[in-house]
Amino acid sequence: MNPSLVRCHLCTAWVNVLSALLLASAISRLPAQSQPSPDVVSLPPLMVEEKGTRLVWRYLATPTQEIISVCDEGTMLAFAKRSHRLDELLEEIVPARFLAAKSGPDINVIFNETFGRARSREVVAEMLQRAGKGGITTGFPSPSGSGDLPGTAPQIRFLPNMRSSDLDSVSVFSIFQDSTDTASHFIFSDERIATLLQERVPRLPDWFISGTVGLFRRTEFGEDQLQVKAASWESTETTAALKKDPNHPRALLSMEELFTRRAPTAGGTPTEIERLWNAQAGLFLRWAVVENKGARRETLWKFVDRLEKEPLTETLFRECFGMGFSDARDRLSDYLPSAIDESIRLKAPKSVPLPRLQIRIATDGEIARLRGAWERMEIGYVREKFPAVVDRYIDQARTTLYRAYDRNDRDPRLLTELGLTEIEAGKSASAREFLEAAVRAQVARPSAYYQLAQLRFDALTAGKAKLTPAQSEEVLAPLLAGRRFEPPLLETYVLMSEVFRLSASPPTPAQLAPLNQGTRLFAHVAALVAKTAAFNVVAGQTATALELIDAGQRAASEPAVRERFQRIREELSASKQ
Amino acid sequence: MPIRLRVFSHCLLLTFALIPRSGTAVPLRAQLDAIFTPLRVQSSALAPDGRHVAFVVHTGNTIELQIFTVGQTAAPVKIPFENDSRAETQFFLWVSSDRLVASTHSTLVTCNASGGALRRVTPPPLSPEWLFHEPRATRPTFRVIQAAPEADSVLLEFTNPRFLDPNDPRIDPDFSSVNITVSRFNLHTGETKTLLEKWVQLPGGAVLVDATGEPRIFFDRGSSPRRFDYRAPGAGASAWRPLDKVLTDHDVFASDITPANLLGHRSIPLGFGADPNLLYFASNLHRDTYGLYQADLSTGKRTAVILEKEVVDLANLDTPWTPSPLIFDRQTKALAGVKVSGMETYTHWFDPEIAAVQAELDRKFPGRTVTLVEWDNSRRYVLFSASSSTDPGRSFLLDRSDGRCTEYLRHAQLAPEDANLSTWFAFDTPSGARLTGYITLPHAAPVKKPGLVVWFHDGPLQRLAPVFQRDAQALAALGLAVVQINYRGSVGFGVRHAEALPDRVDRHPADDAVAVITELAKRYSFAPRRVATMGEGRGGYLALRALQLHPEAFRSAVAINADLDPARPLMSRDQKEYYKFNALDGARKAAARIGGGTNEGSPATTTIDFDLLDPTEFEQSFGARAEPEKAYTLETGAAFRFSREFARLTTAATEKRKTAVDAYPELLTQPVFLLHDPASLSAPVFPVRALRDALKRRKMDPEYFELSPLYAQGDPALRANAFIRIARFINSSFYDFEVKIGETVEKK
Repeated sequence: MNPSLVRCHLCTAWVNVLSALLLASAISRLPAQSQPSPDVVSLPPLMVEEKGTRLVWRYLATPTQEIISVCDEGTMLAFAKRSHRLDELLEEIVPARFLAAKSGPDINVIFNETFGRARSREVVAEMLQRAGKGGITTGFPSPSGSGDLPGTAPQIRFLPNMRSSDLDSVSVFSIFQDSTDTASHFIFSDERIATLLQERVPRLPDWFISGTVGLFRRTEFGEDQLQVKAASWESTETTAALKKDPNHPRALLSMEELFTRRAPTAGGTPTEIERLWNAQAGLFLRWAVVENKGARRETLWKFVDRLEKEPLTETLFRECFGMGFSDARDRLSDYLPSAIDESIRLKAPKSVPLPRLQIRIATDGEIARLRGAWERMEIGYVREKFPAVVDRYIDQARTTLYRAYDRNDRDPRLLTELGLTEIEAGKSASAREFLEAAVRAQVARPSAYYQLAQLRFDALTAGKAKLTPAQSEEVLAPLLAGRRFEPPLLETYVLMSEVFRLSASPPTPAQLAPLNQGTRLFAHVAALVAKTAAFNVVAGQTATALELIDAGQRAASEPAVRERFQRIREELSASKQ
Repeated sequence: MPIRLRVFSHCLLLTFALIPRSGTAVPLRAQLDAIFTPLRVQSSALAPDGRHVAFVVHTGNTIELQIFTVGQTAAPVKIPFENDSRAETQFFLWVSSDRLVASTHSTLVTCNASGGALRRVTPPPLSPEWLFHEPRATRPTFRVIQAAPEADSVLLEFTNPRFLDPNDPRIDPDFSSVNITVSRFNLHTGETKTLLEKWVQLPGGAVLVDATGEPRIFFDRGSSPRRFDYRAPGAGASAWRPLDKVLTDHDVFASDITPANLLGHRSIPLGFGADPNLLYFASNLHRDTYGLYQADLSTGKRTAVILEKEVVDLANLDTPWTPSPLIFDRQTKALAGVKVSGMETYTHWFDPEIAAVQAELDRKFPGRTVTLVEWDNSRRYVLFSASSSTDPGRSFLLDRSDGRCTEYLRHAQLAPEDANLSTWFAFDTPSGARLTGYITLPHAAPVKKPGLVVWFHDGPLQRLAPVFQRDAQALAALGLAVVQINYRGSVGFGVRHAEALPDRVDRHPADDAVAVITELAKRYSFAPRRVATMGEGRGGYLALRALQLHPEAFRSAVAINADLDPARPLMSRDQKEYYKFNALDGARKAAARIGGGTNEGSPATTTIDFDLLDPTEFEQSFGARAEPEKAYTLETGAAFRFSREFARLTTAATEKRKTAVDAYPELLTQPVFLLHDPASLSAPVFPVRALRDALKRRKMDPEYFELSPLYAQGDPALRANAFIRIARFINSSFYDFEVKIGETVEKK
């Protein structure tokens, strides 16, 4: 198997394709979109243009987004303003510093539902037949979101909007009617917030992620206010009983359990204790962020900040909240009856107006780059969900991107997309060519640097030989260069450690410095921590090794891993003496 | 701004600042009411099958039982228990998986898990003569000793006074005998079977039974010396003999109590486990603190050292069996653990499984005292409470199958955010005394460094309990820091600490208070020069005495129901100030007025304490005016002699009234606030009135506030009112609010 293809599959693990926006005039969420029937395959939409009816794409740039759309200008403007406002409102729940950072503005591709839908369906049906899956009926959801066409299982439906992210960029596809009203009333989906929290580096505590998502889920975002609806507790029976009698018995975890338990495995049926943990995380966030007019929210966020550098202790909690774990548990318990019964209105912060927005016709290069980026990011998802049609998606992305390249467009961002798409297509040589050019042009995409380094590494280690200093340098150079861009990539440091492992000579303290720095950011990855600590011991930096072990122990999710770190620590301490 | 005005405004601000802020949304008065209101939960119990958990719950003016079905969301079953909200639960247990028993000293209620098959038991009213003797009692008292081995039965101990029956030859001339019976009571049928009957002198006695329900040890408090009698398993009713004659190795066991060894070295039988021949006992013979040991009654030998602690006594000297420090497994009857009451309470577990549960819960509730109450037979469920000296705590049920802790009830009426932080301290003085206590700091202090109140507990034979301290919390809510001290002479911390009394009954506590202030001023923020003393009963005496002995350290004193002379029983007896008179006629009149019958055979004379009676009532009963200044005490017989001798020893009163506050009114040069219940049983009011008059003559004019008898019984509203007055008085002694404003001068 082509090594780059292997890598490509590895990358798909980092691609999240999610419903990005919820389009509802009453600002309500559509749970059916996130919980499709197992017999329904949800595919990202395919933007198919009929020959002779070329779509008119418009372009709009805001400080945080690049938007191309076939919708009218009013819809685009409304969308941009609402996105901006939602970002502002979201800050009331969770500060931007706790959300995953990306290297550039988010890409938004807004499609008009009246264009191309029927044609897409026909194309996909044709593709499926070619792939030997004849007889399958495809369908789009109705505007209400529940209109899959009847047919034999599995059915295919096209998601009305999706958010797709890879290592360092985000792309959102949305289908709108030409309507400023619709574009002014969408809200972000729970999954989008969850992903932003989960992908944040350094990793946030699970309780914070779960609690923030829980709080977000209970919040309605208006234009000038946020309405936090009554909290829900672990079960409807207990919630009802507590509403009836505030003194009704209730179970709460200790604060230490709340802070140290890991989130339930995604997709599994949560146990009673896991449901309780989820509910309590939401209650704690509500108590800290919303209750008493949000008097404790800065304290909470300071606490989370400090947890990145300090171990979780009751002393730390007390320093932040002015009370110990047991007192906090009691406060939550006392707050619970009112939390499940009260709806809290928060006054929204005054909106900071966007700079004057100018909508213009998109250039061919912009259309190719932005649409191509979206189409590239669809590939990993389709490969995972319905590999029968993945080639069609790859072809679509390459077609879109090469259209601009063939017209001599050498925008490094386009080159990066081309390089990444070629990796998806298993074309390592051309991928490396594009990425070399993009890196030379200092594109602000850390994934370009990492992927280039990986391609070089694969080429150099094909014969399983040790790396010479020069070869090591060849791989390390793009890795080091890419570190100056957001977000930090775990892959960068994993590859860096692999290079050191295969180097003919052990790394020097100076070489280890960037790896140490990166390992601190990804201290929850036990293997990386252990490996980096070992390099430091060999380099005579036992103190640094101990510090990394401590960080790994703090961040480890499994008790067994924590114990292993403890043993390593004890051995290291003994050897130091 | 003219200087004068600036001064004025400064003082005005200060005045406002000293009006305590509540610090929360709850008004201060409501906080005080909540502090003094009885705890919501008095007791809790887990059924042996783990299916039900029950609580004794205060609901405003009454007390009820609440029964929950574990794991279900249904509302609890509620059973009325007591109409008197001041009643204290004496016994609360599931005697079987479907039979709950709750008891105060006057009411027993039993029902099944669904609240059905309800039975309520109250003893018959006392004879009118007894009402004359003790007007506040209406019924004989009883206590449930434990569940009987027979199904759905309990063992009841009745204390039944019959002191005005001269025809009964068992009654002593002082008419202070009581009849104590132990009966097995069937909770279904109400049938009783008497297992033991004894006549003893006041203040009576108590019975210790073994695991089979057989009475085995009788504690005779009315004898001199106080004695533990023993009966072998299966022996007849007359087979009682002194325990010290059974366990004859007096090097390891000596249980007779004399005034001389009450605070000294002795042994205390504590209980039986599964084997009726093995007795657990506490002893401090040849050591400073009480350790826990085991003796084989069939051989008379000590068999095992169970547990010894260096700084804490493993027994309560005053009431060793209620509650017992020993915890037995309900099913196996094996000794599972021993409660240790230091500055915090914990249990030393011998059962490793329960010890692991304790460790797990301690981890879950850091900073709390986790007290395991009961566990079910399968040991899946564990009922426990988590509390602290700041918070009376909450009741939980641990489900060990998944570690889930379900909170059932919060004990305090006070909101947690309104509680004031209370922490314990310990340090050694330069003279080598180990001083311990608690400091409570106001959460909303009106000034940066609040004034301090030194609270003296009521002693001797007392110590500070490691529990929520209402009085300290109330003072802290009113903006004052409070320090409570286990001064030398307090019990619970070894003989050396407890026996530090002779000849220093007053000076040691006062000196200790000064030492504690000096030490704590280094650790906590309070104004060390604004310190008042305060206490109730013997504590009130110490508050006044400390002010006399250390006027340089204290600004004022507050004495509540203070007994001004710890040696008074001795002095009054010596001075023959007891007032004797013919009581027969008075007793008849009193009985007739109260509504009961008369007893033609009543004795000719007895000793009466006039201060126990309202003067008007006295005159109506006896046809003569009371001369209360001539009567001091009701106690008679051996108990009185014991108390008298103990007072003599602990005050070393070689010099009459050497330690009495009212003997030296001239030493009270700082403001004094006397709060007193004229009908107080334990502290006669007339010395307080006399002291007040003496101070008035010296132009001191102490503040005085007459307390209702309900104050001592803990009436929340009365306590709150009194404490608001107290805080106002203390603040007035700390700060000068009388700012004179001169004429306004126009500044040009």
